[in-house]
Amino acid sequence: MRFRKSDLKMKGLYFLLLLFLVFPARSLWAQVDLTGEWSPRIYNDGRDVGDYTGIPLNEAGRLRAESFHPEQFDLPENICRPHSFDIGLRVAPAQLYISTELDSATQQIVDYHFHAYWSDFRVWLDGRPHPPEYAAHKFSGFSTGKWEGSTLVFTTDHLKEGFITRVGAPLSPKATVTTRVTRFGNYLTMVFIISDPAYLTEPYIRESSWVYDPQQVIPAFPCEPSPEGTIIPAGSVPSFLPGKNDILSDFAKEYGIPPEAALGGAETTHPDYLKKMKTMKTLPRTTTKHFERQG
Amino acid sequence: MVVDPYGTGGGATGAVGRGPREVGGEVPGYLKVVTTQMRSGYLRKNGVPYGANATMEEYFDRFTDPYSSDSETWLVVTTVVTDPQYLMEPSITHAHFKKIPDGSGWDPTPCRGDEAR
Repeated sequence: MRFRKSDLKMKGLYFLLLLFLVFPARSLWAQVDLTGEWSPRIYNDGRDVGDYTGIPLNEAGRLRAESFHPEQFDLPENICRPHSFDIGLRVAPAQLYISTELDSATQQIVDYHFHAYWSDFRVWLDGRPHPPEYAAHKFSGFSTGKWEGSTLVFTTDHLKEGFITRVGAPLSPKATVTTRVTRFGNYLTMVFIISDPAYLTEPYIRESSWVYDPQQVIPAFPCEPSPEGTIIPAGSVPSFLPGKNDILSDFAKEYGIPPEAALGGAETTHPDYLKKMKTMKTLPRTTTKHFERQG
Repeated sequence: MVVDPYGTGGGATGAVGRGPREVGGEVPGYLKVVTTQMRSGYLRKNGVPYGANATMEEYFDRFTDPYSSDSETWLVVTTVVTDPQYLMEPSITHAHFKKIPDGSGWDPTPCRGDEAR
């Protein structure tokens, strides 16, 4: 059987056309399916007042953290206040539903939509720029992303002032969070790298994981302040003035940590700091109880 | 360690009682290591145990953060321990390490019986 050259050319064109039909114009690297239901694994750290270990706080950040009073969250205006997206995903019951939005004309992924019961945020992949600095800041921020190999990497800014931990380590509106989302089989891991020129001297990194769970139920979030008010009367703002926080060292006392080490800072994040800690004084253990946030 | 690019464990060998059996593979973007035949031990220093039938999966992800001032390189390890004896579902933990370019942070010391770990 013999083919003419023109037949071969036509067959080649048909083959290319078939390839285009079978493999639509998706990004080459967007090969990992992140969509679906993901059940969180909750990390109950960062809930002890006075525990800033491992956080590279600067002086301003430490001052803000030390002025934090745990009853601030019980103020009527704070009862339904969500966490910023990254700590919310880490500590809240963050059952996740991840979906995509496709451009109807090109079938390209425009954004990944992360839905948790207390929050929603979108990660834009269509190359749009971040809004100007004066644009509205939100607890969900503004995120744009791209694929790096099999990992979705996105950057979030335009965050409202919030917290890094549940007990007052602050996050400023100037913060930027880089998030890396990687699927390992039926596990989903997110790495958060927080940079904050106002309160941190170097990036702060932490991780969270989810398990694929198509049967989970994401509850509604019908939060609203009670009309009877809260346990904190309106108009008061619980806080500690500088140097007046009398519960600050309880955590360090209970765990036998030098109080200075419990206050964080970049130096305390490095392994060599353990040697220095052995030369530092601890306070007598006078308490076996200290404040821990339960929620 | 036996390299198994698909993480199936097919063809890997391990000797019972002579140490953990590890199966590793370069999945695109990260390294997966599966370890079995471990001696029983502790998941946490406060005594939460794992048994001899536990399986440990580790996922090694190395990356550079382009937004840090000096493009820091990080290694994040996600560890999943599955244990039919002591756990109802897998336990997932993480560890992260920042690359020190000059190796100055590498200062191993011998194990001492009089020091707490």
